[in-house]
Amino acid sequence: MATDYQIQRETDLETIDININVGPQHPATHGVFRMILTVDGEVVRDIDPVIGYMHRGNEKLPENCDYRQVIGYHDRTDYLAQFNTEHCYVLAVEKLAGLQSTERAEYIRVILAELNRIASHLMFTGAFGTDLGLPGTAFMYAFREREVIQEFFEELTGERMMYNYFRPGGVAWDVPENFRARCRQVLDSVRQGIEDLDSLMVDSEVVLARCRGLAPTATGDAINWGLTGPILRATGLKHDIRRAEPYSIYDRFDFEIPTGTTGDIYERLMMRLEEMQQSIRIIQQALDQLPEGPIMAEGMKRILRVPAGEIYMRVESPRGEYGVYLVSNGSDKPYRHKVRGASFSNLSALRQMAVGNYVADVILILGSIDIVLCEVDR
Amino acid sequence: MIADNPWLDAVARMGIVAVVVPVTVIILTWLERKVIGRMQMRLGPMHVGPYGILQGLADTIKLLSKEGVRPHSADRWTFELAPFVIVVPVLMSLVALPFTADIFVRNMTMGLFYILAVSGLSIVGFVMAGWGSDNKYALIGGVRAGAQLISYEIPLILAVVAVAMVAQSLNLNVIVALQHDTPFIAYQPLTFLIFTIAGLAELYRQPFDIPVAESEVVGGPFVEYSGIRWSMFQLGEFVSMVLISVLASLIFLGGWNWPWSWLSNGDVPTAAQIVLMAVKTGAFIMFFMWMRGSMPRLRIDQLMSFCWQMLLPLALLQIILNGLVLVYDWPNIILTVLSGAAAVAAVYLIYRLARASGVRYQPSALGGQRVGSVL
Amino acid sequence: MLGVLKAIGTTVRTALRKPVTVAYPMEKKELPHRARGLPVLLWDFEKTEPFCTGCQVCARYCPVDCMTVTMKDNPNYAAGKSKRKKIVDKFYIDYARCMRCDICVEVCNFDAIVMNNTWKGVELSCYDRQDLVLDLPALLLQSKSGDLETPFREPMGVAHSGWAPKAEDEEAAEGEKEGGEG
Repeated sequence: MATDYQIQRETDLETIDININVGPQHPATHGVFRMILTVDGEVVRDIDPVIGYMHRGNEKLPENCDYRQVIGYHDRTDYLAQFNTEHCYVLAVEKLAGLQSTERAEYIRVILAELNRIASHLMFTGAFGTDLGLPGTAFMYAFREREVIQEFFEELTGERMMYNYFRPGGVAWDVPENFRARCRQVLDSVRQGIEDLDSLMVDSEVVLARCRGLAPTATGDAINWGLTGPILRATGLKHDIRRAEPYSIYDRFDFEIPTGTTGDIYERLMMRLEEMQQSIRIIQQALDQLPEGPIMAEGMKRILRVPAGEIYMRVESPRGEYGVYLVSNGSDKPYRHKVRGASFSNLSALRQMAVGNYVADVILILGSIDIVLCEVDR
Repeated sequence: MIADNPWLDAVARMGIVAVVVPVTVIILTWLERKVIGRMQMRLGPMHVGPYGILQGLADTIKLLSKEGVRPHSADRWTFELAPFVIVVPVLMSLVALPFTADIFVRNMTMGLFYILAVSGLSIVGFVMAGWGSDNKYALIGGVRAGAQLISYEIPLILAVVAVAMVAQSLNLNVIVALQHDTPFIAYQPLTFLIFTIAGLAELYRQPFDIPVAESEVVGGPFVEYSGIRWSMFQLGEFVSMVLISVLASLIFLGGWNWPWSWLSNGDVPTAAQIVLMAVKTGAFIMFFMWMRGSMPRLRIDQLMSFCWQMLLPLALLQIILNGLVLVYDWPNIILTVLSGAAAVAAVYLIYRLARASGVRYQPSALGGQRVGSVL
Repeated sequence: MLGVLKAIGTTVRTALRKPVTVAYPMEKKELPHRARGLPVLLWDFEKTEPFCTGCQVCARYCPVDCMTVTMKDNPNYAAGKSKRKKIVDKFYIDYARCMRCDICVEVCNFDAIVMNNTWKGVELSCYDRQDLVLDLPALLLQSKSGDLETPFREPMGVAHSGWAPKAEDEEAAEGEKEGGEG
């Protein structure tokens, strides 16, 4: 009879979570970064990040270098925002040594740092477009403008990427005569590029569908996890070191700090696009105010000996708060040179942000943090 | 007729198709790289031959001469047969596809049915490739690929069924002959939309290419393949693209007849037929490449919900509309109006659904210059 | 769909622009005056000897220790043809190590080393890594052959003290001024 039939239930079937290794060699991880995802079907249950593939001794090696040789290390720490990192370091040395760089040098530094911020955010937008699935279109637009900026830097310093141009006390040499005109040309071209990227990515329904509502972050969580930079501002907190602790001459410029509301990755993208506009504003004001004069402080000695002491100097790099903690024992080489990389702190929050999402979304979240592995691993 | 003996005739025709289509595919690979390059403000291939025309040939030679690596723990026959299972059905479905009124292999009475049925067999190949590679990425990619293909077959087939209802025939020559006055796109814009979108998904092109761009660019079910097998996958993809483009121009845009037959009211000469077909197919292929260059990809669950919750009801709606018009013998213009209204409603729905997922970013009040359309 | 239409409209617009590709190596863009290639030594055409005296300042300031320099007594000085008492004997730069930081140029007291701002200063691929270690004749080749027409020699940094052999007083005075303001 039907009621006598016992239904056999399978009791020894189980589903296991599989481990996927998003390995160090991977087109999507923005560098040699390894993630071990524990995946249940499509949903990620756990993330185990592994870093250290890019560690080069960026903090130890400068202990053998004098203060000018260390500048090159900072170029290579965050290779997308070199002028910002150099700026942080030379400001730290200047403060510790009691130097004051000249007005013209300060203006030049600010102009170059903001241009570099634009270049870095352009790179982010291009890479983010590639993560989203655009086959290089956003990437090419972004790199077109980066190329314009890099050519401008090449005319000024000679290098396209590792400039080694700032010095404690000023800058290494003066800018060419057509600096202002050239810079305005660069800004015009960059505006066109930002407009292209805008119309390609901002309103597109596919981008909205992928990015809206993904990994929303509350401000309290963001502060607890140590996030800084556009990620923190996307959650709603109006915190920008250029306003909170103005360094160099940032207090002379008039610019807005864009903030978001939910902190999801769409807002992070919008933060960076808006920041590019604000950087253009700052550069225009600085170009108008650029004074004549010397570019290196008076009375600089050949060998810079910094009096003993310690200092922590922070700047707003495109990724967040980049800091240099410098301890000096009076000689011409730093005693301890510690770098606080923004990407390291931002990346450590990846697990909280990304667990519970789909695999493809984890890639997007990683892209939206905008890491530079050299800052993470130093 | 090439020969009197039907067997010889069939073999000769198939031989011609089997040679011409891969050559077209080789040219299409070059064209795609050029078109996408132009959209990215760069040149594309330029070195191999004038303007890089021989690039496709160079790629083919390179791929054919590469070592075919097979993972040791891969399931041998599944791994090795998967490319064949993908390519052979697509080539088989070319048998029933008329390129012009005289250039075809066989004129089948149920041509549409045959094409769709046979090309659907490729799904098995993708899953075989995913499973046989013994690689977690491939497995996930293969399973996603299978899911996507199976899902999007249904709106595709329903769209074709809608056209067959209007044409009262599955014979492609008859369908084209019936479009000598107006192409079917004028009667059924919604079906055209559904067919195009489902076709994009069948071909794994942006925005529906997540299975083959698994974890962004690693390759999905094809990650362990190299050399000849890889080139077979690419061949299969491009031949499918040609197939879908030709099919769309035949059943929606009037094939080789319209607008010549509409303007001249007579038979269309063969040369004009070839030109018309080439233009229409080319327009579709350009459209596919254009989409590839400008759209990011949807996530697999968004893709699936788009298919089942959006395309399928719309396809069924279109079939109901067709049925009403045919049963009550309303004039065709009613069909145009109803279908057009449904198409507009569908587009609007998609727009609202995409926007509804959150509040748009409002920038803080900014002085100074605002450029671009950053909101 | 409007956003998608805007996106695909953008791609059409950019497709109609002129491509920005420079078809290297058939066309090469114009390198700016300050372009930083790898360092080369300068040849003094008047005295037919290198400017470099082998003082090793550059080697000491190099962050990556890529240079090896030795000096010798200058036979031209003994013959009365030149003011340089010492001249460079051996000079090796390992281009594989050099990071083009420009510090050697900045600290050189004799303006003897410059960054090669021509294409030859950056196109340096070779088949063997040992070929990247250049010795003195190879380093002087660019300057001797006249390719290096306008090296970038703007007064640089604070270490440029203009400390030159006291050939002419004007030169020395100009050097002092440059060094102070530098």
